[in-house]
Amino acid sequence: MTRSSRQRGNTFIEFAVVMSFLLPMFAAAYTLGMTLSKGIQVGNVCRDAAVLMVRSNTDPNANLDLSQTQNQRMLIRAAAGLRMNSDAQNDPDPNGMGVVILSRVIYVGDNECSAGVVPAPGNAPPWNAGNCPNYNQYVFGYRIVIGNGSKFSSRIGNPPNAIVQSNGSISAADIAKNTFNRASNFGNGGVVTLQPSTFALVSEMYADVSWINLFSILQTPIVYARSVT
Amino acid sequence: MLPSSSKKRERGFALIVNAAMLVFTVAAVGLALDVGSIYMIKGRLSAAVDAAALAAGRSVNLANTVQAAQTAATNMANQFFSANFPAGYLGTTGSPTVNPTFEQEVDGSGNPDGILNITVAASVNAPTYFMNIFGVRSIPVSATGTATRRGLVMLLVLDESSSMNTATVPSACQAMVSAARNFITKFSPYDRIGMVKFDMTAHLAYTPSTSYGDGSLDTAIANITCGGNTNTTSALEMAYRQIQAQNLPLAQNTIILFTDGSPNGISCDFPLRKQVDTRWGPAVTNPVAPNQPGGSLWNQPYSPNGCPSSNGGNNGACVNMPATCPANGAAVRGTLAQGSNQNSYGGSINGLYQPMDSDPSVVLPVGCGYQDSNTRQMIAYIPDQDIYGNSTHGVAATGNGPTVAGGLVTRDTWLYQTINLCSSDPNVQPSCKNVGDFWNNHGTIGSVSNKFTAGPYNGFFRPDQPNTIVAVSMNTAMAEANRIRGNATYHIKINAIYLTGNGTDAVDREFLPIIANFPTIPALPYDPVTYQAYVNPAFQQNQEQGQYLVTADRNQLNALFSQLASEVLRLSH
Repeated sequence: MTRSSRQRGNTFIEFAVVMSFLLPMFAAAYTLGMTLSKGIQVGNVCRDAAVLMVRSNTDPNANLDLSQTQNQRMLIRAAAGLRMNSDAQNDPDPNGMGVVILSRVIYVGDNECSAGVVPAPGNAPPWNAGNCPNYNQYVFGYRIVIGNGSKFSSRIGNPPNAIVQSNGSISAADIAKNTFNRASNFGNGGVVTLQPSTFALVSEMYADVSWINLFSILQTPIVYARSVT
Repeated sequence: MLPSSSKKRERGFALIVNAAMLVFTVAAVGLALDVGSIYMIKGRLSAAVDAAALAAGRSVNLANTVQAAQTAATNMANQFFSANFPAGYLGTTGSPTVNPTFEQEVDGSGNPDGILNITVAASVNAPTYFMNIFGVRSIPVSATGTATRRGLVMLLVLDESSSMNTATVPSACQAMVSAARNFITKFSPYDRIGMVKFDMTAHLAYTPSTSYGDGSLDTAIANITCGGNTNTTSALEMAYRQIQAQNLPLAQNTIILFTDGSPNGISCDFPLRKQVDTRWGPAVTNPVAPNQPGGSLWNQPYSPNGCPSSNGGNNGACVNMPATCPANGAAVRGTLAQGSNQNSYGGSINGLYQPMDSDPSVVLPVGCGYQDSNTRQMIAYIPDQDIYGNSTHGVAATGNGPTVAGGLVTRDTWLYQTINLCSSDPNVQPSCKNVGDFWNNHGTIGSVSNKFTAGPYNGFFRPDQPNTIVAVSMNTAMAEANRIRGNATYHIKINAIYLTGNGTDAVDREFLPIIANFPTIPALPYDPVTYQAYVNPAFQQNQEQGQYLVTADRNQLNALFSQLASEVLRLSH
C-alpha cells in the first residue's frame, strides 16, 4: 500500500511535468486554432459583405438596401459565433464584439464635380481644386456600419456622421465639396490608386476574439479583414 | 506486490508515454495549423481574384480601343489584387501578377447575349511550418474569379428642334452638343452607342456600334444643327428599334433622352376630311379675335360666322369649314406638327412630315382642293392611335394624381399656355413659364377643348389646334415610353434630361418623369420651395426605373450628362 501511494505520487509528478509542456501547448493550439478559424470566418463574412455591397451599389433592381435591419441580418447570421449580435430584436447589437464597415470610395474627377458643384462656376470646366475642393481626392460616397460601430473604426477614414444619409449614401455636393469627407488613408499607396471618376467598394470587418485568447497568448486579440472590390 | 526491479522500470513510464504521444500530438496540431493557414490563404486569394475581376470589368471604360481598355483593366485588376492579397501574405511566395481574360458570352445559338465575362486566375505557394519537418516546404494554392459585366447598348436621343436655337452663346443647341460629345467619352469600347436626333422627323444619325470611340459618333453629334418641331414619340420608337436590332437581351439597354420641351409632333394614319365641320379655317369679314393670352392668329381676324366657299389662303380663321375632298378619300400617313406657338386655337400647323427618315415620303392626296401646307384643313381628325399603336389619350395610370382621368394619365383636357410660375433664382432664365391646367378651368380661352365639340367629328381630337397637337404628342410619347419599358426581353431603361428654359412653350411637370419611370414628380425650376413632390401616377413598379434630371440653365447640361454617365457606369458592371 505504501509503495502504491508512492507510485501514484510518481505518476502525478510525471503527469504534472508533462502537463507543464502540454497545457501551454494545448492553450496555444486552441487559441491559434480558434483565431485561425475566426479569421477565416471574418474573411468570409467580409467577402460576403463586399458581394452584397456590389449588388446594392451597382444594381438597383436588386432592391438591396444594406441600411435595412433585415438585410444586415444576412451578414450577422453569417457571423454567427463571432458574438456580433446577441439579440435578434436589437440588430445590430451596440454591445457586440464585431463590426462590418462598408464604404464606397470615389476618386473625384470631372463627373463628380459636375454633379456636385451646381450651378457650375463660370471658370468650370476645367475643374480643379479651386472650383471643386475635393477634385483629385479620395472621398466617401457611401458608408454603412453594421454591428458595434463604437468599438472599431475604419482604417481608411470616416465621413462625418451628419452627411451620411439614412440609406448610407452621401450627396453629390458633399462628395465634391466637403473636405471633411475625404478617405484620407485610401489612395496614394494606402490601398489602391484609382483613376478619376472611378470608385472602389471597401468592406472591412473587425472581430474582438479576446474571449478565446487563453493566457493572453495573442497580444492583440482582434481579427481584421478587408475586401476591396 | 511488485518486485523491486519492476517498480524501478515503471518509474518514468508515464513521462515516456506522454513524450511519445507528444510527437504525434505536436504533429497533429501542426498539421491542423498548417492546413488552417493554407485554407486562410486560399480564402484570401479567392477574394482577391474576385475583386480583381470586378475591378477589371469596371475599368474597361478607361480607354476607347479594346486593346487599350484591356491594358487599363489589367492594370486596375493588378492593383485591386495587390490591395486584397499583399505580396508575402502569411509568408506566401510567388506573388503573382494577374492577367484577366475577356470573353463575350454567347447564348445557346452562339450569338452574343450582351455579357462580357472577365476571368482572373492566380496562384501562390503557401509556406508550411510543421509539415516542413517532413520535407513539404510549401503547398501551391490557386484560385480563379470571374466577373460579368453587362454590356451597354445606349441610344442617345437628342432634341434638335428650333427652340434649341437660343440667342445667347453658347446656344442651348451648342450646349447640348458639347455635353453629349463629352458624355460619350466616358464609356467602353465594349459598349455599343448610337444616336437618334429628332425634329419633326426622327433621324438615325449613328447606328449603335462599338466603334463609336473612333471619332465617328463625335462627328455625328458635332454636326447637329437645330431647327424644326419635336417628334419625341418617333424618336423613342427609332431608338427602341435600334436596341431590338442589336439583340443583346442581357445587356444594359438604355435610352438617354434629351429634350427642351413638350413634344409637338404626332405621327398617325390621318383620315382625310370629307364633311363640313367646325374647325378653324380661312378668315371672313367682321372677325372677333379668339381669346389667347399672349397669342395671335397670324395677326389675322377670326369669324364665328362661317367660312367662305373657297379654301384659298392660309391666313385668318373661321368655323364651319366646307368639305372639298372626295368622299372616298383615304388616310394619309405622316407627322402633324405644331407651328410657331402652342396656341389654343387655329394657330399654324405644319406637316405632314416623314415620322422617321427611313419612312417613305409623305404622299398628299390629289384632287382634294387643299393647299399642300394646309394640313389643318385636310385632315379630318387625329385618330385614337398613332402609327406605333400608342394611344393618343395617354398612358395607364397606376395611382392617383391631378392628371388622372378614366384610368389614364392624360393631357386630353389640358391647356398649356396658362398658370404662369416664376422662379426667384437668377439662374433660371426665362424666370417664368406656363405650366398648364385643365382647360375647363379657363373657359374663356380659345376653343375650350382639344376635341371637336360639334359636327361630324364630334369627340375626336382636332388637327387644327397647336395646343391639341402638343397634348396628343405628349400622350403618345408617354404611352410609347411605357411600351418600350414594358418589353420583357430587353428591359430597357429610359433616362431623361429636361432643359426647361427655351422658347415660350409651356413646361410640363409630369411628362419626363413619366417617360423615365421616375418614382416621383419632382419640382420644376419654377415651382416654389413649398412644392411637395408626389408619386408618379403612371409609375410602373416592374419596369426599369430611369433617372430624371431637370434644369433651366443650359450651362448645367454638361453636369447633368456627367451625372447620368456616372449612373450608367455604376450600373454597367
